[in-house]
Amino acid sequence: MSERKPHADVASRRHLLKLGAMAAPAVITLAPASARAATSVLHCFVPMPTSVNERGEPCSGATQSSQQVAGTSDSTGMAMGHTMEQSNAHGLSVGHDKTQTGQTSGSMCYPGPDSGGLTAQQIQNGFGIDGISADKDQYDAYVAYLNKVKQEHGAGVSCLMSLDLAQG
Amino acid sequence: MNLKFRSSLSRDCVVQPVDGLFLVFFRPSGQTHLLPVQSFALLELLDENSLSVPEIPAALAARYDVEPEVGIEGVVERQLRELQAAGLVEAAT
Amino acid sequence: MTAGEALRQRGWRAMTVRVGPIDYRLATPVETVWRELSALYRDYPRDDPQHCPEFEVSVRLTNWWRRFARPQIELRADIMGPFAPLPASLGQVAFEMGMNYQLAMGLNRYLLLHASAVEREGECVLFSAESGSGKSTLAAGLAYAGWRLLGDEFALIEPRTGLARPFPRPISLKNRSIDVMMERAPAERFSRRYTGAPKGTLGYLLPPSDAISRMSEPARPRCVVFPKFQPDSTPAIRRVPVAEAHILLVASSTNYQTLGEAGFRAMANLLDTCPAYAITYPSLDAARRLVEQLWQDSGAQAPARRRHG
Repeated sequence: MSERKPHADVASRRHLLKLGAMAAPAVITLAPASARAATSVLHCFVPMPTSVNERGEPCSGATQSSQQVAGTSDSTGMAMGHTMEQSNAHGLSVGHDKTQTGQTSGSMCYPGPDSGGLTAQQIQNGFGIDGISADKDQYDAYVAYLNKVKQEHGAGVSCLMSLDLAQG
Repeated sequence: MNLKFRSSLSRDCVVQPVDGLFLVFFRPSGQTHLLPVQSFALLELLDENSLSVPEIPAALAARYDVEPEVGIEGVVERQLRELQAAGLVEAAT
Repeated sequence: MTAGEALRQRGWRAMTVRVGPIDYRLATPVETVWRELSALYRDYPRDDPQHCPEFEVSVRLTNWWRRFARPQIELRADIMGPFAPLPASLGQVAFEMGMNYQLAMGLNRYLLLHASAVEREGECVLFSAESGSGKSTLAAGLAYAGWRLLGDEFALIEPRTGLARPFPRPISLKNRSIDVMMERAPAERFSRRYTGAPKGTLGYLLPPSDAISRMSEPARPRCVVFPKFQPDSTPAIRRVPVAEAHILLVASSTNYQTLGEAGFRAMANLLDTCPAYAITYPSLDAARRLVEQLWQDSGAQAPARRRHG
């Protein structure tokens, strides 16, 4: 587990977000293949794996917090073509080729959000979840994951796209 | 770098606004694209003018009546690259 | 001697059958396959000399000596794909696969969506999902609960009007879905079970007779639904943003690209006038209730927008 980093670093990260360091895609081209990218069905919700490493890849072995189980009434998002269980296990269509059995040596594994994903507001607020926003490395892992969603047109990409990063 | 870019939005595209985003059908390629407002604004801007990257922030600010944003050129450059890859923007000769 | 006589002499049997706006010519020299085909399509308009077949599918034995040892059939069609030979017992499966393939590859008069559809009072729900997701079972369940079946596999959207054209083929059910529907539909509407098919055990369920008798009556799409069957789940409905729905429906369409601007406009019009929902359901009964709910919800939304634009 990494040491908790102070909030000041997080504040400067938010500034970088505004300038597009973690940027929404400028264009998505629709094609028969493009919705294999399981898209999130809620208005602006990006599903996330149960845990991610610093490269934004799904991993196993996060020691914190139990994760939302698929299909319960609290689940706020569904990845198309996947159950939430599958999506938490395989990171939806993002990074699923890389790791299914666990992390490569030396990489840290951070728990994903308990809700199973992030809303637009949470992303814009630097995630802003107690216990997560204070940890810079976990924050970086989330940013890495969201960048992969952008690049690979993963679930929630149109949510990321619709974020107005110029707003606070 | 004084490379200028332009689009052919009004000539070659069919546009459908959806939920604050923009669906754009590009006739020459037959492809359909989904754009956020920032990159669609670039398409609109470049439809009437060929502009280089340094010229764009001021032109955007003037067109949309906002303050020019500091450091936005990097973002504009990235968006132009993506738009160019999709064929929606080309380098003006 | 005409070509037809020549075929009969060689044992070929053929029919033209109409399903919605599509006429197929279906032919086979295999007697057992012919009998099942005729039985399954007994209620469909057949052999109408006024209509020209748009697609042709034939199912024949791979080699002459196959008549005697483990008969195997192959599929021949106007538009050929990589079809592996099947045992002759799966002849009907070959016909159904062939008809689907022909449509998916060759139909460009309509925007084709991988979706089932049911109609009520002139409007319809489109259920868009991948194969094996349960959209056919869902359509079957609704069809035998008072809705009119428009189709279980494909939705045909007319670009000029935005209307959905019925394409009510026999409903293809797999494995457990057959058991589920046997509790809800009369036994005589079912074909026999086809075991050893690529996807397991298949069966074909004829829709209620009104689906066939009214196959030329189109319907105005009212809403688009992305269904997910999930045992033990809590039933749930969510609105799907229009942009997401576009991404999903374009991916589900085999001919969206081919139709070019007409396809773009048809899809844009469809999603401009129809709200999109995602549902998760643990049972057919739960699905029925969810569909009723979203039917009401979509009716309350701007019916004035549902005009041809």
